[in-house]
Amino acid sequence: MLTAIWLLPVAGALAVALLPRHLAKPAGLGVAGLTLLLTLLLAVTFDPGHRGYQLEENLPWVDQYKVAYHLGVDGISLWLLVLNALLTVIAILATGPRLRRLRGFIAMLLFLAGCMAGIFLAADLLLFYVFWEVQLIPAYFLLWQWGEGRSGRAALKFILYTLVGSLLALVGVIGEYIYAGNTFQLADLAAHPPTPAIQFGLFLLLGLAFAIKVPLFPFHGWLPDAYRAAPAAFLVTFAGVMGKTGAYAMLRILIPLLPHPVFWWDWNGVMPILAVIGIAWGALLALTQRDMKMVIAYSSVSHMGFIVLGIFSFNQPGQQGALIQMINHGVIVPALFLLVAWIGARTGSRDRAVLKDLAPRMPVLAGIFLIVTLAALGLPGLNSFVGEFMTLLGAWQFAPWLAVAGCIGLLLAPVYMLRLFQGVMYAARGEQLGAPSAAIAEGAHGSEVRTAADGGVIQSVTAVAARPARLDLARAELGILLPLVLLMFVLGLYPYLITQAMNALAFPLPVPWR
Amino acid sequence: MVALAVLALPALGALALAIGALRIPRGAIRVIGPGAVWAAFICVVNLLLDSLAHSQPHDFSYWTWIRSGDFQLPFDLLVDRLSIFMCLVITGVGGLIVTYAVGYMEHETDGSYARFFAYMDLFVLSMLLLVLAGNFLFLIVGWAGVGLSSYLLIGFYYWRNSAVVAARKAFIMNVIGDIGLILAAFAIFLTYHAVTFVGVFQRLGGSDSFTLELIAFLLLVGGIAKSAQLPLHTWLPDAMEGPTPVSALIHAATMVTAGVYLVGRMHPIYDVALYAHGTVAVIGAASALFAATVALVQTDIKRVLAYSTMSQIGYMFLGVGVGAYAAAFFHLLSHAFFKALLFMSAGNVIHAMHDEQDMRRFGGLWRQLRPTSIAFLIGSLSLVGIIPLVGFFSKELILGDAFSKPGGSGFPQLMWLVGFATAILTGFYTGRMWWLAFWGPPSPDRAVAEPHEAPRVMLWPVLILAGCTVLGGLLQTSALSSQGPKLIEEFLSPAVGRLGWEANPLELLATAATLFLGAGAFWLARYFYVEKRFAPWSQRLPGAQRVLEHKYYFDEAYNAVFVRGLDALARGGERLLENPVFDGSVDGVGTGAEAAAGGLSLTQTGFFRNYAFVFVAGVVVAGGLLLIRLAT
Repeated sequence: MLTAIWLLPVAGALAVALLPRHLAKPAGLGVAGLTLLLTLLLAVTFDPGHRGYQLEENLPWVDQYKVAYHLGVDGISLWLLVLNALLTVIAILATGPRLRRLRGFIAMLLFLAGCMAGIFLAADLLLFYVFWEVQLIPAYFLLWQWGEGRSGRAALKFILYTLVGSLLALVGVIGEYIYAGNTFQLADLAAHPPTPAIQFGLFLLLGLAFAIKVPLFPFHGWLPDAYRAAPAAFLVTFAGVMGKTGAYAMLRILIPLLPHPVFWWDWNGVMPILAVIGIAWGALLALTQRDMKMVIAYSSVSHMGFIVLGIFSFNQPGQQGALIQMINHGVIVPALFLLVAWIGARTGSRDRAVLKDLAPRMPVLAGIFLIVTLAALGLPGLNSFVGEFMTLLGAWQFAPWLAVAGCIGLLLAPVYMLRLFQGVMYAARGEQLGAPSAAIAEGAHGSEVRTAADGGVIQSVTAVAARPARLDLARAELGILLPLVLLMFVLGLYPYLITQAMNALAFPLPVPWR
Repeated sequence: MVALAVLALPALGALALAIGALRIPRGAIRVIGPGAVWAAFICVVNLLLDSLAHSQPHDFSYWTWIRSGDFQLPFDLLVDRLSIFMCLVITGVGGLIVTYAVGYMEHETDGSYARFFAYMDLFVLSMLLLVLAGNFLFLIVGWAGVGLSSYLLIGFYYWRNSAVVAARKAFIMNVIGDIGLILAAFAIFLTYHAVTFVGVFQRLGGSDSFTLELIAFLLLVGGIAKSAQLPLHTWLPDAMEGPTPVSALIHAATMVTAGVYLVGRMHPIYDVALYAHGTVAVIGAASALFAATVALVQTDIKRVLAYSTMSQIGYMFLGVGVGAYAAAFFHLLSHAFFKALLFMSAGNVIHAMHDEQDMRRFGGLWRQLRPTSIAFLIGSLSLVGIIPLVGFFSKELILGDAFSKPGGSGFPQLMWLVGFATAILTGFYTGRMWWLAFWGPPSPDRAVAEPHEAPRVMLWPVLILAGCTVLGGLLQTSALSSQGPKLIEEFLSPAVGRLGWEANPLELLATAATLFLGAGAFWLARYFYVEKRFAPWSQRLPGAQRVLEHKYYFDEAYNAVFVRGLDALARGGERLLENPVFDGSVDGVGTGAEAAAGGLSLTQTGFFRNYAFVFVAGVVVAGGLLLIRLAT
């Protein structure tokens, strides 16, 4: 069953590439939907009381070096698998049928989904590394071939950054093998950590790779360019899941395998500081961005800081909060990127300095955008608050000043998110417009709406102003967003749904000073 | 289940209105909007009857929100005398205001009309959650929820940029308070290993005073942000951009008193955290005096009321700060009556004046809008504290309790003195508002010569509240004599305890002084603003006038330091660090390579892209080959 979760999308990718063009989207959707069902089935059958891997598949692969094809699922990976499958469905749904080289795009999305599922499933370090490395190929092609603007450059930058990390990580993987008991089994490696000095070196090698992927401050240089270039449908999984593979690797590999990385200094003390700086830095830079997409990109840097902070607070609230925050971020950021892309397609601009007064023309979109904005700025009652609250609680337990510093993120998030939302949707500076007349309100929810996915209603902003109405969300677009919006409420009010699985760990997450 | 129904009814109302906003007919909106609040009111009355029969508090737990290790957080509601008292104010006064809004918002389009009542129901839901929450986390959820609905309603007229900006300002200043509460919750959870109020209060004994003071100060940050006390008050006057029923409900009667509720609810902590408790009183007294002085020069009728709200909440803070909890909550109730009354009758005036809010352009309304004028006069006199209106009994109770409190080396008496001075200023600015707007000849700039009295749906709630203002004093007359009814104190004593000291015999003298000087100031304003017998005081003190008109330059200072400072920091960070260092570190390599390659015209052929791809593929293939070789 676990093999099916990663193999099905990969095989589906192959099939989609061979099928005729008009079948690409339905077929891709079918494969992704089936994978989602499989993962949901997994979640239902999952036993939250069990310690150790569940539904293991363990075949010897390279006996001489004890490499195994070993898959397993536990409380950390379970919901990330579901998230990956869900976002893949949403990404394919959000793909416009008129996209050039549609088959390739959908095939690559599926391929990427398969690789990322493999990362979450692998219980063997080398197998993990293979999936980790292979996921770059579809990501690179998606960014290069289907990107906007200077996509080649962005893709190159992305690949250079991650390759540096990957190569160092390869050394780290081999080092783990040599120094920690000649095995690649994660559970065995966790039971026999090498000496602190060795751990210090290995932490640098592996930690850098993961930090780049997250990305953790100050290794986020690839992110703005990559997110600017990436098409919205790809961003759903690129921003929604790929960053989490880095955070997941920290939780799965760095923490249990290298609990005492102390030599010249203690890496475990450095990571939360970088995380807190990242929270503040991302939030600060989000303030100045004019491109709506860039606001979200930098807010993403800030939110990923919370995840790393939670992971490196070494306590249950923090690490559970980090896991919830991974899911939350995966729910919120794709919704934001889609909304921004759709606004851009309707108005021809993503520039906050140009856009204004859109709410009367797209009331439903404005309403959904408002909810997503509130979720993103961490409104208590919605999902992101849960993650931020728990990670900061964990951080307070670790060192109170870290939590206080992390609150800068909570304080700045409403500033940049509300500036974004209000600036685009409401009256601009100095404007005192009249109340919307009944005519616009009527027209605004008129029947026929051409969607961005249908090839786009690209027109200049002045044209929008001259010809108001009929810009609201189409039913299909609403359908894409509704599951995400629903999750924002469900996870906000009942996060225990996710975290109760987290007691079922494959192997314990150690606390270094015990 | 009744407690859950109290929350569920407004939630359903808000949900129905939000989802159906664009389709639902206006008649249905008129029923659902206020109906949801009144239905909740009936449930609260049910709870009240239950509680009168047996005063035991109930802690209803519904589901597990989260559990991690020994840290377990349920969703639970605490139903005791204090939460029932607050719920009565919220749903009772709230119901009247939402009903009034049916008329006030009549001119909006259908979509906006539904949106308004959806937000109002959302507010009532959040406020009820705030006061019913039995643990710190859901207190925070409710706390942020009222902040959200306040934001939505201040920015209701989103086609006016001033409203949009005011809404954002209110939201962000309230987030500062939310963060205070969140940090306080962390400190509480990790110190006491309990999350419910009941659980925490049981374990307070034996904790060190530093932790207690820290917790109490962090909670206070939340309280002053929400209650617009110094120095986090600047959002409240701007919040008057919202529709007038919103100002009445959220920014006068209920939400802004949440800070008072918080201190009252946390009184076991404040009773032992003495520095924080004293700070509550100091902030309250300072805010009361500060706001009263600023109100002297405001010309917008709603802004005068906004500053008077801040001032009156200062009294409540003063009350809870000296430990006179029942008195503070009595003033909370009385303020909800008379300030909602003032706002709604001001709303009637604004409505009649076609949205003009400048008092200098009113004048002479007494003859033309008699019922509204009478209501406004009752509210004004209650604000000044004229016997026998409810405002007299509640304000004098706070001042008297402070005056009589023994010990503290004169601290409570100092607080009384500030409150006493504020009461005189209150008389003057209220008098100025009343005489300017309603008395004398009509202003030559008046927009409407023959104003029309408000429709019945807007008049009745006003008259009911006027009745409450007149009769409410009968609930507790202990400001005059210790023999009269003490219903408020009796009712709240299981939740907040009784006053720990006896009334000082001189208290009556102090009360009389406050009453007569306040009334005198009210009357004196007539000679400044109607009879013009005295030259305006500002001519003699132009400097003071300027400082007050700029509200002591708080906005200017905050703008310069925080708003512009933050933007400058962000721009500087991007230019000096992000672009050249973090972004450029690898970019520089890429650019350099591209530039070099450009010379060889290699990028045109995509050489570098291909190179990078070959590189990745090579690593993968090499790794695979290695594995296969090793395996065989």
